[in-house]
Amino acid sequence: MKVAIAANQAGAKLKDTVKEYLSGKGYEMEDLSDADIFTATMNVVHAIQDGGTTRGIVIDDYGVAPFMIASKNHGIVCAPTYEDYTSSMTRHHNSTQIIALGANITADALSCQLAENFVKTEYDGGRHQIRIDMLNREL
Amino acid sequence: MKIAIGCDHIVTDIKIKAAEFLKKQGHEVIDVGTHDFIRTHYPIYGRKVGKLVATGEADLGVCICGTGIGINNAAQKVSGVRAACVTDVQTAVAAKENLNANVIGCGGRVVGIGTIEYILDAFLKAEYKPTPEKDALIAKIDAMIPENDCIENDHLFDECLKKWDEGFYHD
Repeated sequence: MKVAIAANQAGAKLKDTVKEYLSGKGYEMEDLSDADIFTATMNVVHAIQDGGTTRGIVIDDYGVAPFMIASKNHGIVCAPTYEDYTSSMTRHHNSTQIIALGANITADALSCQLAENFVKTEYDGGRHQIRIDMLNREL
Repeated sequence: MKIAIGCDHIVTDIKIKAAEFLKKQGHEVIDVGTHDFIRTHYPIYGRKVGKLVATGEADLGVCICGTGIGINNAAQKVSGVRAACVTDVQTAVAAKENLNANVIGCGGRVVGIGTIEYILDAFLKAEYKPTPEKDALIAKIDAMIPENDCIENDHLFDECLKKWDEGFYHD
C-alpha cells in the first residue's frame, strides 16, 4: 500500500520516525513535505484525490491546521488522531483517508502505533456510508 | 457567550453534561440535538452547529460524537467554520491562539466529562494571538470552500435520508 506523508518543520522529526517505521512494515512511503503546512497538507490531499494513494498522514505541531485544511476538500475525511481508539475507529466508521498528528502531543512510539493502526484498518461500509454521502453533499 | 452544541446518538448523555457545564458558567447554550439515543447521523448536527457559527447566530460551537471525528468533519465542511477535535487542553488552546478556531470538539467515547470540562474552560478563556502569518493561513483556510448551498439549504440531506428509510444503507 502506498502512503503519502508530509510535515512542516514542526512535524519533520516525527514524520521521519513514522515514515521509517511504516517503511519497515512494508508500506511504500511518499514524502510530500513542505515548509508551509497548507502546501504540505494539500500535497497529501492531491495524492489521495489523484488516486493511487489511499492513505495520508500530515504532521505539524498540534494536528489542528492539517485537519482544518484537509477536511475542507470535497471527498476528504481527516482525523486528528491522538490515541488508539480513534486511529482505528475512524477507518471503521468514517472511511478516513488522512490522519493529522501533532508532534507536540504524541511521542514517537505512540505516533507510529497510531499511524500503523490507521493504515491497516479497513472501512466497515454499510450503514456508515449514509454519513459519508451526507458529508459529500455538504461540500 | 452564545454557544451551539451538538452530538450524535452515541454521546447524548455526555453532550447534556457538557451543556450543563457551559450553562453553569453563564453561557447561553443552543442545543441542536440529537436529544435522545435513537440512531441518527452525525452530519445533521455537525452542519447545524457549523451553520449557527458561520452565520454568527452563535459565537462558538461544540461538537461531540463517539470519536468526535465524524461530527467535526461535518462542521468543518461548512464555510467559515474552523473546527478542532482534541483530547487535551494544550491542543484546544493552540487551536484558538493560532487558528482562531470557532468550533471545539472531542470524542465522548475517548475523553471523559472531566477532561471535556477542562478543554471547554480553557478553549473559552483562550484568545486568538494574531500575527501576519497566522492571519494569512486563516484567510487561506476560509477561502477554501467554493460557493455552495450548504448553509442555506436545510433539505441538503433529504435524498440520503430517503434512501436510508428505503433500506438502501444496510450492514
